[in-house]
Amino acid sequence: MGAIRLFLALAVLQSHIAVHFLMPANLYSNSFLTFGVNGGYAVACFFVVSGFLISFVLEEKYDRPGGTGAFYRARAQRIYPLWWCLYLIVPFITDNGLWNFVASRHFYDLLTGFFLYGSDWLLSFKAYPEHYTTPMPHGLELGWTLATEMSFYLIAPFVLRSRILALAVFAGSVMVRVLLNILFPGDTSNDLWVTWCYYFFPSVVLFFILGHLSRQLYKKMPLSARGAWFGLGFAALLCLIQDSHYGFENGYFYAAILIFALCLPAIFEAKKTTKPATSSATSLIRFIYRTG
Amino acid sequence: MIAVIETDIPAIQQAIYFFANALPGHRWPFIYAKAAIVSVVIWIMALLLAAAVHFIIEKPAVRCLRWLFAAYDGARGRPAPNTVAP
Repeated sequence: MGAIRLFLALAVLQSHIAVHFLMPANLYSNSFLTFGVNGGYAVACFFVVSGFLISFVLEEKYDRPGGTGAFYRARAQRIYPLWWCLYLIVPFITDNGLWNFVASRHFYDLLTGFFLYGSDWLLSFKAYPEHYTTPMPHGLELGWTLATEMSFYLIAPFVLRSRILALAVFAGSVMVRVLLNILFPGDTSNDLWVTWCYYFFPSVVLFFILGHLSRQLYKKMPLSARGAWFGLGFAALLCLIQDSHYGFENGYFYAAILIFALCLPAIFEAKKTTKPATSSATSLIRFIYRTG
Repeated sequence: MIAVIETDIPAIQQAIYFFANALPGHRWPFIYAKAAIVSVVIWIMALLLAAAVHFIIEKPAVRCLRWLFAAYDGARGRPAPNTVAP
């Protein structure tokens, strides 16, 4: 799972490298280095992984009295320390210092930026139809994905523990996304589409719930590890086919992310149960020693 | 690393532009190869930066927040949520 998340992080990084370094140097490349997975797809895949992992920990670790409080505390301990450090350090690199950053922001910018909650909504609607990136220091605008994650963490203990509620939220989010795509057709070059189908929490929460539902499905119909790796390769092939030919919203992407979600639990289980390489090496050495 | 990239540091952009134009080959396989070299070098730098940030910033910060939570629990006189009773 760590390798998948590393790959997705590199895909996000690559999309920024392409815009800021490769294109100005006439070295434009599509996403061939990341198997067609561009930054936007990587973010959606991150949401699926997050939904899957949160579903797992809620059931395995926090399914007890007081578990919800412990879950929130653990999430805060995971997200805030690094975010707060970056939030305080990055203005020195990109905003002429922390005081200049603080002085040029409203109180609600600082509050939502520091605690993340609400900054994605401000981003979408404060300067609608423009995007309002002021709560984050320049360079940390990507923090909106953390804001979306935090919103999901807030509802996760209630939604994921109820089968009906999870299905209802998933169906509702799919309907919202379809409706918004009809109202604001386009891709990542269209600001209104980005606002409504990329930043807007109700239209992206389906990716989180997809991760949860794939885990529930895996419990009833387990997939072999080999099948999962094959599926992952097929998903990458679908992304490669669509790369640079279509916008964000296309059948290839949805097929790829659905396959990715279905394969995720099997890969997680396979990695969890596989013995470390050192133990295999130790077994081999023992075998040679005995037979020798 | 994305924060560094977003600042559009001219020196880095000029160095990459110089690299792209100094090396021979302007057909698509060479352009892709040069793009791959630039990207992989930045990936490696990003991984090194991420490792440095993890050890220098994140770990002490996490320890600090845990200490704060423990102090809060201590002040309220209750065990931490994940403490297993003997």
